[in-house]
Amino acid sequence: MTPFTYHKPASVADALALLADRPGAMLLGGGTNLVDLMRKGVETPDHLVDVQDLPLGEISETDDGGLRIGALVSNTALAAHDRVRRDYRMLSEATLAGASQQLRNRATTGGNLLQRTRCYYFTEPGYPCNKREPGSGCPAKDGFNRIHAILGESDACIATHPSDMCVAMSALDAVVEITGPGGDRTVPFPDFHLLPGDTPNVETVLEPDEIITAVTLPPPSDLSRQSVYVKVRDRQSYAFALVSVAAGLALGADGQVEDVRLALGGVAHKPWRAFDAESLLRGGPASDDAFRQAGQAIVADATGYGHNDFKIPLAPRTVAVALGKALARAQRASGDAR
Amino acid sequence: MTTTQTTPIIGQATRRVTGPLKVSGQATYAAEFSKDFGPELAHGVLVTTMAASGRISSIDTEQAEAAPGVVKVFTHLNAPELPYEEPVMRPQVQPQVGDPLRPLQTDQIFFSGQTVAVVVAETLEQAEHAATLVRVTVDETAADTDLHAAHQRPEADEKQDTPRVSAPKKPAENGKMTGRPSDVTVGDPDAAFESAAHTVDLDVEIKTLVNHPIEPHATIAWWEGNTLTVHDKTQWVDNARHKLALAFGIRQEEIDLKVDALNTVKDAVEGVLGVQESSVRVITPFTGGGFGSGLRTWPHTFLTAMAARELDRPVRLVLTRAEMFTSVGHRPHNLQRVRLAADADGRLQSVIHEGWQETSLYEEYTMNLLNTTRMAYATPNLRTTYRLVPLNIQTPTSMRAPGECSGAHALEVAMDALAYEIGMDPLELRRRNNATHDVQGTPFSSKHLAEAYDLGAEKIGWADRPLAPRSMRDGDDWVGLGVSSTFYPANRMKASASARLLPDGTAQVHSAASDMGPGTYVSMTMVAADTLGLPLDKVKFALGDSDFPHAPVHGGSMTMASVGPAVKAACEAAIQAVIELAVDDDASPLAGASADDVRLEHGELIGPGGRETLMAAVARHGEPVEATASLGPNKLQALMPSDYAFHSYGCVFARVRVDARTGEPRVEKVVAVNDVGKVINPTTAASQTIGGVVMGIGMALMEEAILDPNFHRYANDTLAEYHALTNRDAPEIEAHFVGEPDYELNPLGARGVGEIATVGTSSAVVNAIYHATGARVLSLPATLDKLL
Repeated sequence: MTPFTYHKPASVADALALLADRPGAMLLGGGTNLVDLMRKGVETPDHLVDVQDLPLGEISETDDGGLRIGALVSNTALAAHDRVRRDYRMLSEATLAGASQQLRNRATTGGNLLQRTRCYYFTEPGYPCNKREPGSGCPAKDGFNRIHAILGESDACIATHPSDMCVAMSALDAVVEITGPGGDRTVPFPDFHLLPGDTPNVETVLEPDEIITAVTLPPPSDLSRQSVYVKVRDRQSYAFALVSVAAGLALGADGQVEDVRLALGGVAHKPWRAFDAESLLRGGPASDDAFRQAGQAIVADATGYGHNDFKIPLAPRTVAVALGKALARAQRASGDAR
Repeated sequence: MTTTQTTPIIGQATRRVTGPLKVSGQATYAAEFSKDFGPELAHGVLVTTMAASGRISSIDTEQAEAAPGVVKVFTHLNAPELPYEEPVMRPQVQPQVGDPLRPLQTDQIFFSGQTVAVVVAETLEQAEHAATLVRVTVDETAADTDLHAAHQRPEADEKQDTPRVSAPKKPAENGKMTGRPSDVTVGDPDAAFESAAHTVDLDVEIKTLVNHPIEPHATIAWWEGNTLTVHDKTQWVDNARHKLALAFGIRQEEIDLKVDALNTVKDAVEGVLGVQESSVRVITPFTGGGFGSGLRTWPHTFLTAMAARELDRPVRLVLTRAEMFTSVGHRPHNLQRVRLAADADGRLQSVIHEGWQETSLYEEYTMNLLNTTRMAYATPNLRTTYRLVPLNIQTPTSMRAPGECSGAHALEVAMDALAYEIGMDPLELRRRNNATHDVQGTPFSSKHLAEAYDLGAEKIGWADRPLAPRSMRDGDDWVGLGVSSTFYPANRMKASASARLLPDGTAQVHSAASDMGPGTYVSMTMVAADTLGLPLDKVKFALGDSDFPHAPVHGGSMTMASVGPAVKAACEAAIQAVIELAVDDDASPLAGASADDVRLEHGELIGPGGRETLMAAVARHGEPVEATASLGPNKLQALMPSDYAFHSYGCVFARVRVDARTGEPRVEKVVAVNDVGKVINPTTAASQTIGGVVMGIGMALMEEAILDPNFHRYANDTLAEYHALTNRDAPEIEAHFVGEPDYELNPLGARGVGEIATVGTSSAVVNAIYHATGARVLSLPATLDKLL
């Protein structure tokens, strides 16, 4: 690990000042990802700003009945929160599907948004990697790419975003609250993470001198209450998604799809919100056929790189599984209501 | 009044005596002995190479040496040349052909991840940082890690310098074909195959697996004059001691002794030369797993001792998890072709099993890949062919049931395929071919496999299983039941122990054995207490110190079968010594009796004229009574002439679910039934079995070290990406035992559990997946992409 200076501010203002004064400083939350990367020599910050003392650890209700999740709320606290479990079920399920209990106890909400890809070639500095060293190349494309992207990837990078929690947040239309030297701003969750393009080293819209303070969830709905997260992986705990799907359905009186949310993990450089597939489904039948067609539409332009080819058939199947579960929950809920 | 034990201890379910120490953090593992040192303890960190082949053209240590806290940076340019003497006879755990890797003694690079420098600093963090500042430039040459392509190359003739596919150059002795002969043929397997009613011909692949004990390999070494003491994660303190002595050329007179086998060296030295204290001592009371990674003494151990000598201070070095992929061996990638032929009744007519296994460019690692095939089933015609393929990898090593695990997997998958080819129940096919002797005609010592089949079938509910694949569905899951037989050679080697009876009513028993998890501590305590007629808490068994009486390697499932009898014999010798004291002691009720007429029963010495407890006699003596014993064959039992072939036998049944939509395989239940002779401790035997099954499920479903094809380096070199089974993946597992004590093997009748426990699970799972889905997965692991 490269030597660094360590700072532990008590206020957001102090943290921002530290960032402003020390270019190249990085924020330290739970440390579940950054410390590993520092030990591997992937990240070599000169300064660490430990934000764990900042007053951002609460989950509170917003004026419109939604939830505001402080950036330092742990994954464990988020997943276990009564209202998250009841009103935003996919978010609780997605968060619990991630990592291990020990990691979830440490990991923070803000840190989860900023975690780096688990691409083997990124996490070992001996390899070239356009994300780590722009212009050096991407060995994943003709290397071992079973865990890599099939959607939205670029010639420069085929890495995936590893988060489960973020997939649900994208599907739920969460909003990221950011503060910086220019004041506060908000970013719709689906716009927070970026596709790799020619600059895979730039992963989010967060500026180096900014801090995520919270993620807010819109008011709950039947859709969010009946939502579901399905994760397909190689082992049942402590494995990143090969494909995951966050799905929510609201049914009209006629049983047709009134509203739907759909996002995928494990397939792209960012949580992949499937807006087009949602449009296809909205107003149509809530049937397995329709679900599969929607899934197929998502992968219509997908590209496999060999080892990850299986994700192209797996993704639509997982979409159908998730929507099927969401449908069952919606039907159960409407049955209960009757 | 002394306490005696009036009921038997052997065979009773008994908790680990070390359990409280382990769960309370009081069990000290190698790296944790840092607690015994102050700031004089320096920390070593390895520098490894990215390049997989070539020669080091330059190595720049200037920046690293200037970094804070750095004591010294060792490279091949400044490291002292070490003698690394060749032993009189190489231990079985070391390849018999080729030379071990000697980092810092050469500029040659054989594989990615090879150690090229050691940085020693005042603190671990300083050493880690400085290690990142060492700049290594390698003049690279083309590397080859492609087993598929390489195994098809023409075989080497002896004059070639370049490594080629070859039979092992020095097959182990194989009087009973338990060694590693390259080619064995019985009858006319090709003609029998051609003319048989039913045949299968399968290509099976098992990828690289890595042992990955939870405790990383670690060494603390220090010198006092010419005396070296080491805490090292090892499964064999005696061998570590011997190899360290050879490496540093110390005690030349000791290591030059012409003894017929390594395991007698210490006895011989201490007996012939009267040496009282060793100039090398290895102390490892606890070993946190190993599965074979601790059999050999690896380069980092020598490097740590070298640094300690050069710097004249204690040095500690702990491998990182990434280094664990390329420093302490692995289960080698292998390709196998299995052809089986049967008559219309399902009786095997021909078995042709060929294997190609990777090894390194500098050593020939051989394993028992095809041995199981030569004893598993009755067949009149058989051929096994074993080939090594040198690649740019580290030398592989033994990983729990090395060879057997991979070879039996392929054989048992092929047996399943043959059953379906015939249209016969896969269990029935195995019953029909159950053998009474190995392929050379040597009868098995004690075999109760048929009973194991019966019990396992009952426990898993085999009778209700429809034969056809893809015929059991539950909701979204395909459900399947699979079976595999399992075999493992029963071995034994010479071992020694000492027993010391103390006037306070307690006993101390010592042997230089190891306990990497199976419960050596508790089982040896049980054997000693049972023999002495003492309660368990009156017996203290200690191991893991090379100054203790010699023990063979803690591998090959032979600790119980080897050290157990030695412990028993040492205790019996101590009892005899007490008897001889008592009959000469007027104060004893046994006074005047002939020693031959006195026997021990439930801790009481009973003579013609009276009785007293064993420990009362010791107490009256007022001094400890000590005895040692050494017994067992000088070579592996399997290599000794014998009327019997010694093996353990069993079967594994698995019930799996495969999600029909996503292909995700899950194991729901496993029943393992083994015949391992006498079960000394049912608790730890079951625990070992469950652990072996867990490991086998990992092998079946998820474990794989993935070599990047361009950089020739393991891509997934973390425990996050190299998937070993988690608790959530572990199903309900039942462990049962059948059979009776095998007194042909040893006086305890015990055959060892550790490795047969892991053979057979992977094949049972893959066979169950076939039954569930109709998909025959031939290349492990059976990940969901192969089942979509």
